[in-house]
Amino acid sequence: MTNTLHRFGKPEDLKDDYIVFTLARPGTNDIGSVAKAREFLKIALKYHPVNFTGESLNGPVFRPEKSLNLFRLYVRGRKEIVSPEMVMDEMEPPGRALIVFDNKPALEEFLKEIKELDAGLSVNVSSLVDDFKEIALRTGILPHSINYSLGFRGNLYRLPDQQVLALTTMCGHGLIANSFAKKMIEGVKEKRLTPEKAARYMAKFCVCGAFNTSRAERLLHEARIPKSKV
Amino acid sequence: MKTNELTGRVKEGETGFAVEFGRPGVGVYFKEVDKVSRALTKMSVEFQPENPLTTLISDVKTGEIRADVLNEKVMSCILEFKTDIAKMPDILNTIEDEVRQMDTVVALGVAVRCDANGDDAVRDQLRSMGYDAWRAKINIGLGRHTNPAPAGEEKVS
Repeated sequence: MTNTLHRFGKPEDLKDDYIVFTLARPGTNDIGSVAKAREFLKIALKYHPVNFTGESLNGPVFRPEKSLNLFRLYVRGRKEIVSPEMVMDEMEPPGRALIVFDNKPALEEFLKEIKELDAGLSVNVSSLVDDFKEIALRTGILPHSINYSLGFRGNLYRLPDQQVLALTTMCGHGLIANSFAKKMIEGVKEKRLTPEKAARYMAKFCVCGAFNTSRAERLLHEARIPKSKV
Repeated sequence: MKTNELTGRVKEGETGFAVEFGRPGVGVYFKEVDKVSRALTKMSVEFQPENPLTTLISDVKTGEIRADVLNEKVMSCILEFKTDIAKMPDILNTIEDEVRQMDTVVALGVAVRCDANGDDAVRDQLRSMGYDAWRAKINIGLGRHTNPAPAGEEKVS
């Protein structure tokens, strides 16, 4: 599934959403691919990704707590995030990794290093085409193949509103339910939740780590502002 | 597409299509997918053999999906196929015609191999047809054969 491709939003609303992932192809370049994917993640850490994952059964840095109980919840509070080092330690074959940046300069610097690393794994960038092409001019990184998103078609009346769709389509596998995103928006509007907390709650459901918490925070913050003030 | 530099699945002069039925979050019955796959086979498309949905097509010449799954509903499924680049507008129009009559949603994607300068032949065409095509997944072509070749075989790079 193209889990990072169909993010809902206008170009000006996608300027803080850049996903990069690397993967090996079994039988072609999978030998030693876990170490290479780990190196990919180590380099990414220098540029402060907002989400971060490697191939494992445990998911990205944002993940649910399996041993959460009432005592822990009230004494210690929730722990929504684990360390990137833990994610890297848990990685299993085949070598795969995915990171999300919320700014173009970070993407550009990261891609320069990845090109230099030349690990032999496939690398894909999921972003606005014009932003990538601008970077390509400066870095000499040329696209080999492009998969364009042509948007949604069919009975669009069955889709939720734009605020919900912008949040839920950041998990391309559809693991963030529309009703849950709506609940988070309501929680933020009623000031029962901060945008940061709501974004982290949603990120825990996206097991592939493609959910952009930074963009989600911005979208939730914007949802709190009455339309008359926008 | 993610490993196209290794698989060569979509070559220059070809267009790959990914029609993702039921997405986002609506779901689809296979009987609806069946209508689209039948319509597409009339345009001589080549279904991607490694795609799970292709395994449910009982006859790739007619696009007919297995009768025993037609009333099953899934959250999403992807019909993947490729065709000659010149057929792209007709294929997209056919998909649009079929999808318009469906009670679900579809996420459409078109993949293409770039030339040596990183340019592609479809973006302008897509825009002229009214598609935004402002967001994409871009393979930057860094993948290569690194596994040692089995004894007796030459390494292909």
